[in-house]
Amino acid sequence: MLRILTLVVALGLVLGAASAQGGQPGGKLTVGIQYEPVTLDPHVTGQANARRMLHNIVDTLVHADADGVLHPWLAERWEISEDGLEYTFYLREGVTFHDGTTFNAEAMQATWDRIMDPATASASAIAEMGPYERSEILDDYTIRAYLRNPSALWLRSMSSAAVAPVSPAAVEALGDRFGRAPVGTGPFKIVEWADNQSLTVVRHDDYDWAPAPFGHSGPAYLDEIEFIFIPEAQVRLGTVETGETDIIEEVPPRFVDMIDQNPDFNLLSIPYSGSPLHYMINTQQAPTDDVAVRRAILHAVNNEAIVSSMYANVVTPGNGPMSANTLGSVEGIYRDFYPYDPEAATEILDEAGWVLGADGVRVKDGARLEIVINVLTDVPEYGELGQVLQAQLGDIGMDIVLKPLARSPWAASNNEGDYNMVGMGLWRNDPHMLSLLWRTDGSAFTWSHYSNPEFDAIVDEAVQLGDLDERLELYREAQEILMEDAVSLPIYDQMNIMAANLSVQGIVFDQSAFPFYHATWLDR
Amino acid sequence: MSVYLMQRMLMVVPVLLGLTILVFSLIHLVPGDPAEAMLGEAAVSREAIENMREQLGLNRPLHVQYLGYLGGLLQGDMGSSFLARRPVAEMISRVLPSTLYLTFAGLGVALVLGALLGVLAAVNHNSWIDNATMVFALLGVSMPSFWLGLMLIFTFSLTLGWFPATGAGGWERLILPALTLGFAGSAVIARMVRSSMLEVFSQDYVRTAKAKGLSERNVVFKHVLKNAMIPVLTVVGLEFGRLLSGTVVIEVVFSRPGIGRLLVDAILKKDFIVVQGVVLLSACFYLAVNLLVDLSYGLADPRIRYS
Repeated sequence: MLRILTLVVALGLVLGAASAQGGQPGGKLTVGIQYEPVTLDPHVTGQANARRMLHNIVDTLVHADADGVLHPWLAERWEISEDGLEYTFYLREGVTFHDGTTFNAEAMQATWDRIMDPATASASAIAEMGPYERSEILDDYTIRAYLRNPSALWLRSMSSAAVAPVSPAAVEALGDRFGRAPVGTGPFKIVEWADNQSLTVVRHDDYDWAPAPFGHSGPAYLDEIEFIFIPEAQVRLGTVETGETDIIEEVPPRFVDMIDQNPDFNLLSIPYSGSPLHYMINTQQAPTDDVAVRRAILHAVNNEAIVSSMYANVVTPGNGPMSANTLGSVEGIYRDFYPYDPEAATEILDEAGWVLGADGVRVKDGARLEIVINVLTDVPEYGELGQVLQAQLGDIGMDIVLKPLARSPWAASNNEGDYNMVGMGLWRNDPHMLSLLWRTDGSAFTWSHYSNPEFDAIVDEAVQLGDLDERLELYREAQEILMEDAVSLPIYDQMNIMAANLSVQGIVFDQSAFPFYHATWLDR
Repeated sequence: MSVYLMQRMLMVVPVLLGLTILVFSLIHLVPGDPAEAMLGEAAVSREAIENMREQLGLNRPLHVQYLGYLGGLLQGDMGSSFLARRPVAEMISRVLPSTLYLTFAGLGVALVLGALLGVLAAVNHNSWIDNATMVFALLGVSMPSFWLGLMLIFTFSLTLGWFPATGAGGWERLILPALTLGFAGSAVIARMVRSSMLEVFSQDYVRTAKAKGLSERNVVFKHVLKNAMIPVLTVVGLEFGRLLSGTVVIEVVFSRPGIGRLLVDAILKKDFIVVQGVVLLSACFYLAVNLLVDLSYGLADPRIRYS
């Protein structure tokens, strides 16, 4: 029910934008965000908090709306060759960067070349480029990209701010300073970035090329947006109550109660695509190398109770390897495979030969059923979750050892594999994320240390398929294999939670749950 | 005096050298490979890590790295942040003024409040005022500043709406952070002023001054307070260092720009070059202030001669 409610809120806002012919131009929006990004160079940064702002400063070739549908943006249309290796983009004419430079095929090529250049040291843009090999300018406004192998992800990846075209003239002129004042084609341009304080952007007056979901294509309604960096969550919440900010991003789920009961505010919860916040279970390290132990864990944890006690039911219980909102996710797959049933869990353990010892902890062949959980200390939530798991899994005779680690040793240990479970969440728009987490050597986050040739073959085939239905069918199989092998304990589906005062209208969210303020206006 | 000054300045040199060695070692003390840690999520390939090591000069022998670091420092080059791609000196200089305003405002609060409370307690020795003041001072030293900061924000920003809760610029954004920062310091100074004054009160010259028929006010401010200042000055020097490090928490709570927040961000992002720069600079400030305090003894007490 709550899920529906939050979606209605999101939809209401989008509708507000669509019917916003009456949107009042003018005014300044003040946005409280948590962290100041290190750099705003879209091609360099790997930070989500940079993209939150960048999406209003740069445009992309295509726009992926909240439902995942792709819309033309800087590319008016595109053609994909039969073999899936050539993408021809017909670019929109009359688009200018903030510095007056014309956006054309040359600028697009310069952008792609820049991302691929090792000197740029791109963190995530280069990952979005995937199998991209080179490009060819067909005429001023037509460019063709060549891929090394077919990819079902590639076009969608072009909706990421990370690969947005930037002004080649500005890149040239600014050098290393480009990251302080990136120049894109977006509805707002940067005027000031005050260190540790705020980023101020003003309307790009020539703007006339918004994608369809924004509801109007001309210049943005707002004169100005000031993004203020407010690290402390309670203070950030406070500022939206006093009016110091109009809207705040990244409300921790634990604090939602405070805003939820206040009629003066809108709470916006937009589901993220990707994995739930889940515990990856190490399939190589004893005792979780025993599939019976992993299955028992999945039966014994009551994530509904966690969601209601720790998160006031603002988020929904974890769906499975992918959150319910993610393209291709099998709804309810976790509980279909493993209903909450502590008795079933004890039966599984009994059958597998784990017998209850004198101290209440099960033993098999002299080994105690001791489960080590790596706990990232940077995020207090993981400590609290760890204690809940300790209690719930303790009930079926497991001894849960919480190992608190700072980020660097935490990551090192996760890669090393000397633990049984670790909590994490990965935001991705495509079911290809399954590959990143569970394919043999899939990415830096394969913390289940899982290796299954059958699974690998399925996801490898899926990523190359052009037909969406066929792809999703393969990913359905892949999810079933993962559940069968019990490699992940889903806790809750993650949400982008924001709080705004009632005057803020017409925020549009994309598939990644990033807010776009082009159609936003203030009803004052 | 000038000879003494020269001597003191020369003594600073080995301290500074030791400091640079410590700061330089920071990067090698972090668990794991510094290049890998700094790259974080981007540490996807061996090649990227190797590039990073090359860029940081981690492949060179340790002493060569150190001399290179020292050589850079002598030319005012604190290195560049790998992540932000900006010179560290620039990153610091953009936010340093805000930290200095806060530190000096905090010092002001600590001094004024501390001296006031200390004198009040000393003059009213063993009365309820004395006790109340010392309870207040005890609260001050034991209250965590992030908690006090949040309480002040809730009371004066969110509830009463008197001051903005975030940002810098203008006195209205300085008052709450300065109060938070100075409060703990004022407690320490109040206790010091009180005990130091009580000691001076028992001196013969105070009795003489009183016997001469000087007014109580004259005795307290001209004779006692001035003579009680020496130990207080020392504490102020130490407090300055505490205030400077205290800005770390306060800048985060009040969303103020500053080197404290820069440091926290840099630590979280494993931007070690920035961490080195901020630590080095803070230590230099600390050295400078303590040197100034040493020199100021002569001003407070002309009997102290430097030779």
